[in-house]
Amino acid sequence: MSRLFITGYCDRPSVKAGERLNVYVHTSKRCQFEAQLVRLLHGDVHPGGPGFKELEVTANINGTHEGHPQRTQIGGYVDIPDPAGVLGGVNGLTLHAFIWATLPNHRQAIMSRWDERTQSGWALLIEDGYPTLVIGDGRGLTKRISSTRRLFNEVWYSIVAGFDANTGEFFLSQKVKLNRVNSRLGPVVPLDSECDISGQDAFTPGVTSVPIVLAGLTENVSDGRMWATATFNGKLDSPKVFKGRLNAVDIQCLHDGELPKQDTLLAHWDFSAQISPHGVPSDSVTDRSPSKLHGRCINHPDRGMTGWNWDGHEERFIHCPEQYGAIWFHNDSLDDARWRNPIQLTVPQLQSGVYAVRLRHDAHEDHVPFIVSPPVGAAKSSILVLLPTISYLAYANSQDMQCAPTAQAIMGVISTLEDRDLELRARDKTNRSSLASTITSEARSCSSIHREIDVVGA
Amino acid sequence: MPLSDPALYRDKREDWLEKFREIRCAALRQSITPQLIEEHRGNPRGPHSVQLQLVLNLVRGPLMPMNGKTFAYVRVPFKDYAIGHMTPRGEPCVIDSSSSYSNEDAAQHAAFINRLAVLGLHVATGGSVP
Repeated sequence: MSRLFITGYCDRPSVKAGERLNVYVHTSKRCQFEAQLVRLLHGDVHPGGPGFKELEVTANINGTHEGHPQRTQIGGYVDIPDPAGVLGGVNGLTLHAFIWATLPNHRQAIMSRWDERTQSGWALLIEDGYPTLVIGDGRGLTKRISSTRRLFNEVWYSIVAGFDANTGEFFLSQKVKLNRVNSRLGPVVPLDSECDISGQDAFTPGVTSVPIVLAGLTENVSDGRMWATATFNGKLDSPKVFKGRLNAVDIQCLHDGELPKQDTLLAHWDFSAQISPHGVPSDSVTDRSPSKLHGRCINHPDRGMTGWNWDGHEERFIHCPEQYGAIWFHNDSLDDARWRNPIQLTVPQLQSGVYAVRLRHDAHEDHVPFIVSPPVGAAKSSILVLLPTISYLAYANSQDMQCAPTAQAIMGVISTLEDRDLELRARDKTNRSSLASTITSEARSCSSIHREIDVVGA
Repeated sequence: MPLSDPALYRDKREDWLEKFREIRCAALRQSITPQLIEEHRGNPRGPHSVQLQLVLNLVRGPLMPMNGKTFAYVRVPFKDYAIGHMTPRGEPCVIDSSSSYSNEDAAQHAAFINRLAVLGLHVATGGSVP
């Protein structure tokens, strides 16, 4: 049975007496588990030392609770509600985005209003490296049109795709938008990576109530939650949607980074709108069109990224937001596991120190640690212990010793791993620390307290 | 000829890594003596002699691909260890169930010997690899 049968996290790293702490618990199957507040005294289990020591503490949370499996949404994307179906595409749509894909050989979505479960709606995807527009009626009929050129990774492209339900026309136009500095390849590299293609048999997409998703698809909606899948790896810039089919002049206008003079603009997401002298202190995404289909970033994709039009003259995004209008998405991002049904601890009057809620089911056990700090102005001890929660998070669920090619040389040791390390690695795409190698081969930019942390250390 | 399909262009880094691996193995082959092996067995964590450190830099470092890399596995903390082999991310690692060591240092040494063998770096002056 999994060594990670029972696991959990709490919503804050430190609390004071009298405050409330939510503890979220996952069990691999529905079962009862025992919770017990403990004070952690000594954690090293080396037989030459005192061994693991904890002290049970009376608390309201102690006792038996009901446990159940919890699902975690992994991957960054933008969630945009569209209850009125503004982008339903009844008469057709033209979609546009600048994209810079890091792993184009994986199936992933650029933008969609698509229900994967019913195969209904529309989606602009990358399939086998080819930008592809797919529409589905939800009754088993889907049609797709694909580019004839695979994407080169880390190269900026302008993709315009759409369909006209009245004429039945599909189309897709792909243009390379690299310059001296914005892509992995430069202008000196001869590329044949553009495409203009059209076809027939387009139809009105099936009616669906799923949201618009940038950098992903809707897998399904259950229990009031939307689950995303096929999340994108790379940067998106200035996605737009127009009603109906734009003509060739307007399509070229989009490729050139201009906005056609059209009254058919249905959505234009400007990722630079939240850039301020203070950075990007927001998960909001602004739609500059009259539709005002504003969205929200999920799982903390990286904002203020160099966009398709970055020319390298300004390296601080706050001074040139118009060239930093991209968001970089990773399909293994996580800012909050968003588990449900927490058990709630009311923190008793306790000496400050390191505590945990111990969770047990049969032989399985986990500790959810937190700090009890003294009330402000009440500390009397002559010794202060400062616990580095940022370092804790940086190394939380670290898999450097299992995955990073240079880690063992740096640490000067061959990896010694136990079941917990191996199980985390085998689960893939979950919960890596800010330092662990990711599937996108880039260091992660955030590590959250709001997720299960099963291993800490290099 | 313009580039049209990235699938046709192979990442050639591995070619150069393989060449560099050959160069380093050739340079270090004569260093793999019974004395060096014994030095590691007695003190796998270091500090090490310069020659042993150079050999360890090779077997620990990025010249050895992660896929298949040997590691020390903890069966029972402080009591029972084995050696295992890395697999691609997302797949369960392979543990050598026939191996058993009473302490971590012995498992680390066994992993070191295994990594030498994978590179074809056997003891230079003859004798069996422990």
